[in-house]
This record gives sequence, C-alpha cells and structure tokens, in this order.
Amino acid sequence: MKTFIKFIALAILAHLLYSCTKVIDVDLNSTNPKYVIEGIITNEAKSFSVTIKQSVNFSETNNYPKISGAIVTISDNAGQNETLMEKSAGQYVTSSILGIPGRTYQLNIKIGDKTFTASSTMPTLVVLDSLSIKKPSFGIGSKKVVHYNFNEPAIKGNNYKVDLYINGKLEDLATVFNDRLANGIKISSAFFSQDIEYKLGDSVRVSLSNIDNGVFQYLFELSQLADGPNQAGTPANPTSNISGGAFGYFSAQSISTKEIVFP
Amino acid sequence: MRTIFSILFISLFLSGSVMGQQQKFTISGSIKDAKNGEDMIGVLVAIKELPNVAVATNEYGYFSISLPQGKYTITIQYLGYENINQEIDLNKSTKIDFKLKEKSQLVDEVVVTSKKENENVTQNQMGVTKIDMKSIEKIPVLFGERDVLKTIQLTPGIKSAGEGQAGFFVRGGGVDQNMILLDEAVVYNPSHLLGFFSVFNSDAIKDVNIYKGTAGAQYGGRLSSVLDMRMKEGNNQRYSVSGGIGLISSRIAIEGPIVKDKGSFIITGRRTYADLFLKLSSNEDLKNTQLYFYDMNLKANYRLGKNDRLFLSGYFGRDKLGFSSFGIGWGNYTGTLRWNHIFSDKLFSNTSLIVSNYNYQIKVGSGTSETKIDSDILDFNLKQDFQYYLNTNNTLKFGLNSVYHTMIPGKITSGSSAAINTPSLTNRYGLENAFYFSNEQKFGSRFTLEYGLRLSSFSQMGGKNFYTFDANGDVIDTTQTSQKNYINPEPRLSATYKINESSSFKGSYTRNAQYMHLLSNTTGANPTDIWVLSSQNIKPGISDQVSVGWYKNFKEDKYEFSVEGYYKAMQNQIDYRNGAETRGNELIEGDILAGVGRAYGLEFYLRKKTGRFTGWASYTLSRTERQVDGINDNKWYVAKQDRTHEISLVGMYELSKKWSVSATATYYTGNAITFPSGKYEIDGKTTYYYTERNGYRMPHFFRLDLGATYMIKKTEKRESSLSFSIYNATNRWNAYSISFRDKEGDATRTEAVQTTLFGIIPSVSWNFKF
Repeated sequence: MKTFIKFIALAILAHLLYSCTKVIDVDLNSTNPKYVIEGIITNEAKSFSVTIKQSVNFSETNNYPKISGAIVTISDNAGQNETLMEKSAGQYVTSSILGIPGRTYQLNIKIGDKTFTASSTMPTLVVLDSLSIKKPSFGIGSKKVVHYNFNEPAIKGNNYKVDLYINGKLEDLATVFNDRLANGIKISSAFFSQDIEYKLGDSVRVSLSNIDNGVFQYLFELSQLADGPNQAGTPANPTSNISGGAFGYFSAQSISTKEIVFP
Repeated sequence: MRTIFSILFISLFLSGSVMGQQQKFTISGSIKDAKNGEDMIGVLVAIKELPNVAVATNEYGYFSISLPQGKYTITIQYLGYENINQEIDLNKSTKIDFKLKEKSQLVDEVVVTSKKENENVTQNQMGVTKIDMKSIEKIPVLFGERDVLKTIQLTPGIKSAGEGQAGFFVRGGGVDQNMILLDEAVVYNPSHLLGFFSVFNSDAIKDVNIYKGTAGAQYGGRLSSVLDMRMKEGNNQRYSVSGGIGLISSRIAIEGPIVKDKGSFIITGRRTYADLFLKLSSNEDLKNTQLYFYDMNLKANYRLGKNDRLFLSGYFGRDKLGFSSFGIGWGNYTGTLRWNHIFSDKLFSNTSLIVSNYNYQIKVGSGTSETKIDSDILDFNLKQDFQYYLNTNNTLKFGLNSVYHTMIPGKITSGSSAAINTPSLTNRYGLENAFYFSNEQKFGSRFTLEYGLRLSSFSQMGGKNFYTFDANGDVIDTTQTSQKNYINPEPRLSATYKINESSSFKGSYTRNAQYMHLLSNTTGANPTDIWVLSSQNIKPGISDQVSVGWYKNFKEDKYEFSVEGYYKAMQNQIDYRNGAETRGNELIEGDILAGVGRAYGLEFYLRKKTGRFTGWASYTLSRTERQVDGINDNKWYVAKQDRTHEISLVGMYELSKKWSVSATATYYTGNAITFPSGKYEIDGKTTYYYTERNGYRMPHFFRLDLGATYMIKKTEKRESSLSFSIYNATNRWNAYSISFRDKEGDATRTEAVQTTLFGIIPSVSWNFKF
C-alpha cells in the first residue's frame, strides 16, 4: 500500500516536474559464494525438479555456476523416498514421488561435506474457480483486465502465490498474499501492473498455489525486496526455510490452474 | 541524586532569605511589538545599575523582577528593535507594559549599540536554536513556499530525512522522536503532499524554538527534540490583510483587533492548486487525479481584566490524493484554549486545554466493493504551568500535564463484495501524566544552574486483546485486560559559566522518556504510518544526553559563535523483524525488536546577526549507531540517518531598498544504506545478495538555492513584493534513491540506477500586505 501511494505521488510529480534516472557506477564489495537451492513439489502428476546454483558478485555477468554431483533426496512422512537424478548440470529431477496435500516433504542435499535440509507441508488444495475479464474495481486505468476468482476457505491460515502466464510465458508478476485481511470470502483480483498488455487472442493462464507458512515468509520477504532497496525499509536476505546456510526455498504446494483466451 | 537536590533546595531558600532581609518590590509587566501589539517572547529585561540582574519575557511576553527599594534604569534590548531605557523610582510594586518599536532600515546602519545583548552567551539553555521568522521569509525554498521545517534543517544537529521530506532527525534520533508543538498542541504528522511541504503556514507563526533533547523540565514526551512553535496573536491595533500568490499555492492572512488593545484575532489559509494543472493533462488518468492540500490557522485572544487573558487557537489541515477508485485523505487538527492568570506580581500561571487529532482514511473501490480504512489519534491534554519569580536569583517553574490518548489504528468498513473482510484493529487507550519542578538559580555574577525533575508515567487504560509473544514473535497468550504502568523520573540539569561578557561555557544532562512510537519501516514518513502506545511488549524509549558547549560573541555582538558536543545513549529503540508488515497487522507488536542506540557529535555554528549581510554557517560532525538483537548478527551498525559531515551556509544581503538577495548551500555525506554485494537467481529472476547492514553510503548531497526579493512598494501600511527563487541552481542530480536491475538491453548483466527527484526549479510569487 505504502509503495503504491508513493508510486502514485511520484508518478504525478514526475509528470509535473522532471524526475530523472541515470545509470551510475557503485563500488560494491565482493562476496563469498553461496549455494542457491530451489525445489518445488506439487499435487500434479509430473516430475519435479530441484536446482542448485551459486551466487556471484554483483559486477559479474548473470552466469550462475551450476552445481553438479550433489546427492539430493526427497522423502515424505508416508514412507515415500527418492534420490533424484541429475538430468542436466545443477538440475535434479524426480521420477516416482507423488505430491499429496497434507503430507510433509523433506529435502536433503549433500554437496561435498556440506548438508542442507528443508521441510515443507503441502496445504489443502484451494480451487481456482474461474478467470473473468472486466475493468478493475480499483487501481489505475479503465482498460479491461484478467481477474482470477476463487472462494477463500473459512479456515484461517492459507497463503497463496499466484502466477500469470501469457501465451505460455511466465510474467514477472508473481503475487504473494495470505488470508489475513480477506478470510473466507469470494476473492476476485487482477494483476496490478501497467506493464501488462493483453492483446486480442492472447492465451492467459493463471495458477493459484497454496503454500505453507515458511514458504510464504520467504516469498513475501522476496517480494518486498523487489520494490528496490529504498522502498521497503532496509533490505535483507529473505528468511529461507532451508537450513545449513543456503539461499532459496523448498516448497510443497497444491496448485490449481485455469486458462482463458483474451477476447 | 536525592542529596544533590536537598543541597540545592537548602541553598535556594538560604539565598532567598538572605536577600529577603531588605524590603523588596516587584516590577512586572509585558512587552509588546508597538506596531501590531504582538507579545514578544524571550526579550531580555535588564537593570543598568545591577549588571547581574536580567530576566527574559516568557511565552506570553510576561516578566517579573523583584528588587530592593531604589532608583533604577530598566533597559530593554531586542535584535531589530529600538532600545528602551526607562528610569524608575521603585518604592512600591509596579506594573509596566513596554512597547518596542521596530528599527527602520536606515537607523540600523548608523546606530552602534553601546551594550551587547549576548543572549546566546547569557541564556542558561543549550542545544536550542531559535529561528528568526524574518529570515524564513528570505530563504529560498522549493516552489517559493516558505517553510519553517525546511529552515530548521539548515541549523546544526538537525538533519533532513531526505530531499522532499518534512521529517527530520535530531542528534541521531528517529523522525518520531521529535515533539512538534503548535501552540502547545502536538502535531503528529507535519507533512503535506508526502513531505514536500510542511503543514505549518509561516504567515501564522510568530516564534520557533527547537530544543535538541535538552529542553527544560516543562517539556517531555519525546527523546530527541521539542520544536515549540507559537502562533501570532493578530494585530490588536488595526485590521490588516496579507497574502501571496505562488506557482502552486496561494495564501491569505487576515488579522485585526477584536477590541483595540484588549483583544485580537488572526485567520490564515492556504491551498495548493497543482491538481488544477492536472485537469489540463491529456492523460485520462492524470485528469481524474485529485492532489491537493489546504490548511487554516485561527487564533483569538482577549484580555479579561488586568490579570487574566484568554487565548483560543486552532489548526486544521487536510491532504487529498485520489486516483480513479482509490483515494486517501489525511490531516491534523488541533485546538488550544489557554488562560493566563497573574496570581501576584511574582506568580504567573497558564492553564491549557488542548485537543490534538491526526487521522487518515483510505478508500478502495466503489459501491458494494468499497472498503474504507480509518485511522485516528485523539489526545485530550490538560496542562497547568506556574512560573514563580522568587527573587532575582531564583526563577521556579512547576506544573503538571495529563494527556488521555485514544488510538484507533484501523477501523475497517467494507461493502458486501469488497476484497477485504478483516475485522477492525483493536483500539488502544492510554494516560500519560507528568509532574515537574525546576529552578533556575544564579550563584554570583558568573554561574547559573537550572535543576529540575520531571516525573512522567504512562498507564494503559482498558481495551482488549493484549498479546504475549514468544522469542519468534508468535502469540503464546491473549488476555482481555492489561494493567501495564511505567514510571520514569527524568532529571534535567543545565549550567552556565560566564567567562566574560561575551563568552560562556555551558553543560547539561537530560533524560527523556517517550511513550508513543511511530511504526514505519521506511526512512521517511508516510501518511499511513501509525502511532502506537507503549505496552507490555513495547517498552518506553529512554534517552540520556550529556552535552557541553562554548559560546562566544565578537565584533560588538555582530557575530555569534558556538560549538557544542554531545553524547546520547538511547534505550528501547524500535526496529522490525525481516518481513514485518506494519500495516493492518493486529499482531505487529510481535514483529517489533527493541535495541539500543548511541549518538555523538560536534556542532559548530557561526552567525552574523546584523548589518546588510546576515546569515549563518553550520557544520555538524556526528555518528549514530544501533544495536538490536536479531539484526546484523547482534552487532552494532550505523543507523540510516548517520551522516558524518553536514554543512549549511545561509546568506542574505540587502542590495538596495528595492532588492535583497539570498542563497543557501547544503552539503552532506550520504546516508548509510544497505546495497547488495552479490546476486543469484530465484524463479528465473535476479535476486540480490546482501551482506552487512547499512554497509554502504549514498553519494554525497549538494544543493545551492538562490532567491531574490524585489520590493515594488513599501509604506508604513502597504507592502507589495515579488519573490524569485531558483531551487537547485546548479541543477545537480542528487541521488534520491539507488536501485539495482538487470541491464537494459543486456540481460546478462546488472546495473545500478540513481533516481533524482528535483532538477533546477525556478519559481516566482507575489506577496502583499495592506
């Protein structure tokens, strides 16, 4: 909300005056590389993957070293257990394990003599009812946009991540929220951005993932950082649910998807 | 401590009784401006025959001196006014009112005063800056809007919260540690238009003093500073209208006598019209945007008899920001009813009943999908202050203050199909009380000591849903009642040793306690930041400050110089856990971390007070650090507002009777800030890797502003002038923020981008008075 207000005020002032940006050189320190782990397991019947990379210094190119030769296992509290295959450098995939809501999944990674562990419980599936196309009930502009609609369950404590794909391409607009302010009601929301341009015939896909508290905490802190260092207080590395000193997160999440063609 | 006080009490009464052997009479009265009848604050009343005797008028222009029978010459001197020397044969207690005449420009250049005022040297008060309202009129500012808060940021020890911010930091404290008083009423949010302007219309303000954490026992409630502003009373001699028309706003002030010499009123108003320009825009969205503020100040006073006077004053201001179906409005209102009563020629009393309110409302959506969020702070405040002029060596102040706070953090009303259905946040109530006593005592001709104690307390007053949290910030218990009380004795001590007529040493120790806290995890202030009261989870903030200083005037008091050093230790400073949500969060207290802070620095100030060229130079060297368990591996880190060097230069020059010019230059070290040192990828997006907290610096800041005033016409009663100003005359691109992103046109690299708020901005305004 705060960023939103500031954004509006600055946008208006920018039109009135001239607010200017320029690229500058900042002398930044170098860092000790850290392992970055991303793993997602869902209720869909498919192969899941865990990727392991490393961080680099700010001044380097965005080529993140991929970590090969790690031993990656995923197990659950109902007796499933699988050691993942390294499909390509740094990418480890499952072949048999199933994601079932309510179960707790455990990730174990060994890289050399270092061990990283994480656990995540897959929340109950919340079904995405429909997508609709209408003018936003609030926000900038009067153009029609895609809204996603679902009934938020009456039980408190659900956290969501909503992703938007246009013509199969994931847009950089993931929304993370919980039911703290909107428990048990019918939700109808749009992605809030001036950057989305829906065109006639676009295939629009939205996926609603129900995530657990640890993952929500991580993704929420990550989304606060996305505002830029000066926007959301003092930035800090998001609190990961992986222990052992790695960046990233491991999420067992239930997912519901809908698709619509923009008329 | 107790023994020190008893020794002081004994010495106080001894000195009183020794002097009391001779028959004594009292001269009391008030000092007013001859032109408009305004009470004059802080004017020194001295006795020529007794060089050690002098008293300054209080906030209501009142003074009282008790002397043995005899013939005396009363001398009154005040910068920019003609001196008064009046002989008096004192054989009974006498009441005399003085009217001071403003010096005309011509006289100012010729007359050399024989006696110096040396107020900054003799006054037993340190860490205080008085702002001359006349210089505020001359200092160039953004869009030509004169601004009290922007002007105080040019003095040592006071740092702006950033360009385009009305908030400020004093000696390492946070923006919420400043008590901003307008006619004694607390103004919770001093920002208009998100901080580009302050809420104070300088046309309505008579007197501005800022105490940098060193205020006397009569003040309390904030750790870092008290900004005490007094509104004008209004001309009690004749009706007058003044105003100005500027590029983005216009203002008007009307004042006049209710009954000549008995009572007067003043009404001032201001409104911006930036939104009218938006209507011209071709962009539909901008066209339907609401963006404006307005404010009004009202004051009336009436003399009921010889010994009683009533004052009624109020402020009302509002900001509106609207954007299709989204709207936010915020504003303060305050009201003060005061009664001055002179019990005897030695005992002056003031009783104030004060109401303060800050409120904001957010509206989202329309029709059945509308959600409204209302937040309010409402204070009812009773103040009783006494000043007792015991004898020429002792001036006592004592009194009490009681404030009842009502906090409505978020009342939520939503339509049937709204996107938000959360219950309203729980209201909170609290009672803040304080009793104080202080005495300013002179020991011989050189040494003055002011000692006092403020005993403050805070009690929670009802409410429900009080939470207890574990170490991770999770709720472990909820109770429906809470009886949390805090009591803090706050000793105040300040001493002055006069080395000679033109120089002195001063030292002081002050403890302050604060029972209200602003929840904001940004550096600047937002209208939707909320205030919370101390509770079982939030302990009152406490600061202890020791300061010493040397004061020197030279060249016949034309120049004044001071250097002050301070060390401040702070307890229970608020910070947040990572990812804390300060808005709409019933459980926010669980996300608060408390830490300690320390701040120390040196402040240099050189001012030229008279002549065709006036102005000042200030330099501050300082450091501010915090240590909070749970942040930065529990190690000390520099606070955001830490700026090593800060320099301000202000100059005003009278070129001719028609033209005057002015310039201000500001330089400071960039704020401490956290930048990323590395990067990695999450969900295919570049994410930054942060190492040490506040380990980097923003680029240094420099700005030069120029101003010029052309007096079209000036007579005794009429004035008409044009003011020109150039903000950021060198068009330097100062960094407002620095952000990091994937390089444009080359996704394989990242880059840093600096945003600048204001380039060069010229403006003109027309001011008039008749």
